Amino acid sequence: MGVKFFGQYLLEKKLIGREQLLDALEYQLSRNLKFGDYAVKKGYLTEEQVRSIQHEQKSLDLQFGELAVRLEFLTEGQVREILTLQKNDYIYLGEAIAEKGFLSKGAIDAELEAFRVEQEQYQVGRVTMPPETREPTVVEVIVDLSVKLLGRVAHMVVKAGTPEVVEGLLELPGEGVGISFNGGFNGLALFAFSEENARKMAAKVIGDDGASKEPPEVILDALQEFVNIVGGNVVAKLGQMGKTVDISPPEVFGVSYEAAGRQLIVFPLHTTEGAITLAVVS
Amino acid sequence: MSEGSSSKRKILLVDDSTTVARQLQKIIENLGEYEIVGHAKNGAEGVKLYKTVKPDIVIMDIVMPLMDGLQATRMILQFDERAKVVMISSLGGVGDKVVEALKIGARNVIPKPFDPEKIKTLLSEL
Repeated sequence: MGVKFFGQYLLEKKLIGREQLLDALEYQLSRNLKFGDYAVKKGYLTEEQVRSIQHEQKSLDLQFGELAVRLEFLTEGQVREILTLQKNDYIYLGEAIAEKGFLSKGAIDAELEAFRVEQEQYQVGRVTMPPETREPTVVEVIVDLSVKLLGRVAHMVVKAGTPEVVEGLLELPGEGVGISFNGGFNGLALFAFSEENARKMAAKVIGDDGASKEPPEVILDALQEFVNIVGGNVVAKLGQMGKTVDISPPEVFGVSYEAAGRQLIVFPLHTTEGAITLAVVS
Repeated sequence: MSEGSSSKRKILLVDDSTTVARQLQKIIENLGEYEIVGHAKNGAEGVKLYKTVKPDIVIMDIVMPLMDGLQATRMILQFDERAKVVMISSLGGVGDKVVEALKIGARNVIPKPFDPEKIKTLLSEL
């Protein structure tokens, strides 16, 4: 259940063992060279230039090739050439497992198809977004998985309403519970519930109707756990799409949120248990 | 948490979330073959409890305050190399931390949201 990667699927089906998976992952990593490795191999960059680009990347949110062009270490043509090489040489986990001889190519293909079918329920559906949305792909994944997981974890029927971009201060219907993303996407998914709504939601997450009468800290813990599951599944989904993103532990915000120069889009989620506010900050 | 019944396999839960503990407790108690003998809310407490309750299985979260699940798993395995530790992750088996957990000796990963059938199968294999 949940978004997972192909290796975890094969492990669960006992088609490969833990050691074999780790071995194949290591092999895949050794075969899929980084952009800088190719540039050095082609003689376009020195090791020192690679280190200097990597150093600059710590303070600038830019791709390696983009930065190399800015620093005039590479031409745009060289960047395109390396990207093509990198794409052509790239091997997927399934190929790594087949090349290591752990499963046949035919078995991998059949399992990939079964994996695709299993993961279909987590395919991103169409989410209406304002045209000015930054990082629309990521925002779509966040909204779509939030809706699906409210269904799976909290057994709610949910419909996403019309989103709007909010400037300045956003007033929330109750305390906001959010999860921050960093790496390939820097942003926040913030959920807010009215008190009654929060209690119903917590009881569903815990799986005990009586839990709706629990003290506020128990309710908040359940909401944080839900947000954590959404965050993890978003990271896994983005990973399947080739985007590496990390999450921080869930945080509790107050009853308002100041966008402070960042884009804040509010997606009203209409549920069988009342309205939930989902705000995506990027 | 139930007491006694030596025929049941003993499980130690290490997770800072009371919600996760309640979810797992419900699933595990319904299986009938296991009993939760302790619940630690961080890795350090988990290591300490492992040494006193000597469980058959440890279910460990990865991200926790004070000491995370990776460090706690390392310490438990140093103390008892045959310890059976399974990790809990919402990352669906993706990510450096999950791979690192398997590398240091965790037996498997339980993805979130929990699927009682999968937990049953996974525990029966340990």
